[in-house]
Amino acid sequence: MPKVTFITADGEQVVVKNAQGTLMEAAVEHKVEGIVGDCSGVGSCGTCHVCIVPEWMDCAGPTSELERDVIGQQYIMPGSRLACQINLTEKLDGLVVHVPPR
Amino acid sequence: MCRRDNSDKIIMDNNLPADDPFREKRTAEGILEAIFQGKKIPMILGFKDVRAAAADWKTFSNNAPFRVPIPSEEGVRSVRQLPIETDPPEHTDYRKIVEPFFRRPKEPEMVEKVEALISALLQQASSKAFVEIVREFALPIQSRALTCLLRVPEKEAEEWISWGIHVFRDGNDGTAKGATLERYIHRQLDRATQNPSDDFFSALTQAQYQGRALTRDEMVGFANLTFAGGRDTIIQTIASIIGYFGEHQEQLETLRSKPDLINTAAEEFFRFISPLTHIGRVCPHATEVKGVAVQADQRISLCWASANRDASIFESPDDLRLSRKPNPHIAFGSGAHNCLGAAHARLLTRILLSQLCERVDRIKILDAKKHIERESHYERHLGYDSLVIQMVRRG
Repeated sequence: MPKVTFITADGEQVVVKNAQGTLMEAAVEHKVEGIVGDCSGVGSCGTCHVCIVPEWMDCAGPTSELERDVIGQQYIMPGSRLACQINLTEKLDGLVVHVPPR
Repeated sequence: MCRRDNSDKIIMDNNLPADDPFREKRTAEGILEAIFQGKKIPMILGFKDVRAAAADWKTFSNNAPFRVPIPSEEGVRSVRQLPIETDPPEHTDYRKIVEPFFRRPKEPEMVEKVEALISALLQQASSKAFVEIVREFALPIQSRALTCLLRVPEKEAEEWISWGIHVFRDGNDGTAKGATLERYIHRQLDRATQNPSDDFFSALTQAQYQGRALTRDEMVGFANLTFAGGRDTIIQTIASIIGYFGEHQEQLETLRSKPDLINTAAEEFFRFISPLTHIGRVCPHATEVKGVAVQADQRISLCWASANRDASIFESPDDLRLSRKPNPHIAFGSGAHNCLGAAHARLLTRILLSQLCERVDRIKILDAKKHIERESHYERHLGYDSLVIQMVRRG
């Protein structure tokens, strides 16, 4: 199971080992500040916005059209994703994401 | 099937309006120029257009006291509702004041309380030969759950229930109803000032906004929105879910057999029901939407209900799919002004679905009077004026 690191808007690092499910579920389970996941992962609420660090962008995949709509064009940054749309697999072992300020 | 009369109103051939009377206009033009209170308000209908407009508060502003709701509310309240009737950056600071309360549905203590109150009301409803869902079941759930959210004694709900399913529009005299609400809020704020507790009203009396205390009008504005918003919407969501399962027993069985679908089912009900058809924005400057000129100070509408049936986003949008995912619906709005009470509505709905599966064998509809929104250019079925059912217990 992959290890993922969340860096919150305050600079706190939350390391989750053996993360399972989606990146949003891992964040919510470990109470990562700034990730809420209100809609439980259907891609409606936009409360799980993260930014993938550059070296992991290719592996994690690009921002989808749905994600652009939900996050809002003015809030899109390099590496912007909805954490609920990222399924955690072994290839994401070591993933690092930033939680943008709200 | 539908046709049009000379005024361009959409009329269903079977004399019943659809849940989605916007389909033809949305597909053809993306906009419907409707009249509300004698004024033309272009309604934006397509999903992407609604999302984009909701994010663009400089063009489509909320900084318009009384004019964000449609119909506008100059006659039924004396204060600007907060935080909704402001734009960023003020909106951001106002919203932060009350967010801790509206995040409480994530707290285990709150979850337990709402589970207990829904359980008690289901027990009561299923022990009767019949129950009227809108006023005897959905309204008490909404009001009692709100006492949990605001940390006030549950007995307060009895007065809130007496206001009916809408704080302004349930009855003939909206002005009197609005005054009743404001008198109540002032009483609570007076009490909170003299004897503060950890409740919502006390938090307002102690809050700081940009380095100063809130004015009394601002406090009333926060409380006014808290009671007016999330009332008819939650009530009609609950009633619609009960009515839907009454007509679709097989969907209740599906959900019962697959409880891991509770969360996606709740989101699909929000999309499908879209309990707030639309909301207004005011254009500070002249602009154009979908080829329609909009004058400065004119309003437009963001039609959530139409956007949520947009076939370019939602496959088979008129089908209710309990497992729909992704489901980027905007039943709670979109952008900075998205619904503050969304987490609360989600908690109530998920618990209701879960307990219906657990406790109710079937729902038998005895009498249903559907609620129809009748406007100048459309009629939309949304929930019920009354829904009498027999709720048959399991086991």
